Amino acid sequence: MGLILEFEGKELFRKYKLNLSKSILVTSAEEAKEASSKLGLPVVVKAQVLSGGRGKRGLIKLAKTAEEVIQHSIDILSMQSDGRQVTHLLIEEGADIAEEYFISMVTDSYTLETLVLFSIEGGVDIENLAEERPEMIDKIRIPFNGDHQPFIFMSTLAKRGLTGNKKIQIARIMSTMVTMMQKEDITLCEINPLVVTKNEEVIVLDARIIVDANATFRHPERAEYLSEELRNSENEKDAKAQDLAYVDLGGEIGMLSVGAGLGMATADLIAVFGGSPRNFLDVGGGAGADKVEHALRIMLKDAGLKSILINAFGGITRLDEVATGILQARDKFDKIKSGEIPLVCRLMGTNYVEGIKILEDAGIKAYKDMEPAIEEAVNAAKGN
Amino acid sequence: MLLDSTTKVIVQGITGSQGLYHAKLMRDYNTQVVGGVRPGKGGQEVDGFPIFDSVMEAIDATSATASVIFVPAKFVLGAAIEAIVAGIKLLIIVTEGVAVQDTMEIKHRALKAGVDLIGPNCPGLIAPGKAKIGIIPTNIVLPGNVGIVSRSGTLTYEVIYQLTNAGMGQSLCVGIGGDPIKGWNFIESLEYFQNDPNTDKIVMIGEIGGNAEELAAEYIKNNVTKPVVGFIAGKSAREGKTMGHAGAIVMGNVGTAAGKIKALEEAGVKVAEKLSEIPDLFK
Repeated sequence: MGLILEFEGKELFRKYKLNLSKSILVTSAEEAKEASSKLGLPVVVKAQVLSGGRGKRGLIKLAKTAEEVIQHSIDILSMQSDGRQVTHLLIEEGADIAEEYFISMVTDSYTLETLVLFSIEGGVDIENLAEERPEMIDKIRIPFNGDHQPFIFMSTLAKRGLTGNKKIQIARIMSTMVTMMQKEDITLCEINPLVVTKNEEVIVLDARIIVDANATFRHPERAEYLSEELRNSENEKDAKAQDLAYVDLGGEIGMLSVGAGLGMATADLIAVFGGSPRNFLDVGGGAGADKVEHALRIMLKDAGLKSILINAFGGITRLDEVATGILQARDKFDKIKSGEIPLVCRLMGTNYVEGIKILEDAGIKAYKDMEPAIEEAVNAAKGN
Repeated sequence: MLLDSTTKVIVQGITGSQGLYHAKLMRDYNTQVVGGVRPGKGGQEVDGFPIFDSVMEAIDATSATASVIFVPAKFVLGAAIEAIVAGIKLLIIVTEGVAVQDTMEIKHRALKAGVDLIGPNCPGLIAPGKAKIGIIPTNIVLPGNVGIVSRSGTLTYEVIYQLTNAGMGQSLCVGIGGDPIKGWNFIESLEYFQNDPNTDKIVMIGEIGGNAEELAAEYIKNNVTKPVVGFIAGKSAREGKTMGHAGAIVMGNVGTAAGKIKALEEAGVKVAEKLSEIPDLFK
């Protein structure tokens, strides 16, 4: 699941002809000033980052003069978000806001319906609103492949006092968003706020969109998105290139597992035995020896690693392959070879007898059960 | 009976390395793997398996009622539609990484056609001593009366292994898969186990995220009289990235390990702290 950046989301909205303010993406104060003179003042300077709450964090600022554009741009470009320097700003025309609304939609994974949420109290923290005054949020359920023409939404909007062109335009936006969910492989589509200006113009002011990472084959351009670059740390990129999953967990034990479920259960047991995982490398189903070697290579890059725990249960994965990968890694990486970072293995499932034999012939002890292996890895991390 | 030694199975994607490898393992476990489908290779034979160009031709020749899909993710939608249209009644999708929209289309069609869909991104089914469809290792299972349902592949194996070590055999193990949208979920599996005369006890393995365990707890409270033992993975996980506002609003305060464990315990399910405790909780 990948959240995309505001400007990427807005490009998607533009493709579906939703009404947006004019905006220009820039990477320096100089470019920001140029953009603002093209757009006309005032403009809003908006950091393009993945985390929300940008307004509160000073990552969105209104600029009424050219000097303010430069100052705000310099300020925001010197800030950090999600552990990274802000690199991109969206310079957007200011809007004369009269009213703010909220529209959000997700798929109900059980019924396959698209659940459309709407509130006439947009622009605020919607999670708080949902808790304090849930009656202010309308919910409309659209069946899978069901009708979602604008008329479907009009009665709900009318009950909230919306009339005329404003009501029709908002119903159209909702209808279009449902279409986009399907056509663009979107799993969350949100506009907060959707604003109405003093001239009764309806404008999409923000875009919060999560796209389905498994659907990139239908949207190859998404592989090049800036959000894709921002989402992943160096280790995550490295892991992804090898078709591995990497999670930074901050503790001291490196975990290599097959499948996220077993990885989570392993982390739980590490906690039960009094340890904490440094990172988690999921080699996924069907991994070969080279993939296991790469996983261990990436695992070793993290500082603070005290022991390595390999907990592999093979279904589609053959454990003789896993064992071979472990040996390859031991022979290549000094930290394992020298014993500086102790390695504890547990193999069970498809070809585990062969796997354990490969390891034992090479002088590496391998467990069949997970609990004693995890306990040993925790003890090894403590230097016992 | 969902799956037994008389179930005739075809493999879609049998000429791929995983498809063929697991077709052979299924056959080695005495499953009736009657052939495979690979468009363009109809009429050939691979390792004794007859190959057909389409599912319909495979059914014409073999009377298969079940199919297991191993094709790459972007071809799963086409393969699944073909199986459903051709009249397959039990469809297992092992492939991981299927797009959400594709799974929705498949699930929608499966529901309309009355097809039992398992997966995608799942290890499939095994009826110990009878047959298996999918990739669950056979060397860890033992015939018996415990039904197992799990969201995670490798955790399913782990639980089977623990039960087998404790001498508790299994009637049917169902790996429903880790994707948010899937065919059978906990509820369908629990319904099957409740009605299955070969199943006396049920193990349900969940994990953090989504609300499937909470829905299952509600279902158990109202419909399941057989003893259920649960396990939730992810208790030590730090709060992850949020799903977005709408997700949080829809689900309310659900999705955490603590919330799931509470819901299950309130439904009378004994929840194990460690996997190794599961056998003892039935005593």
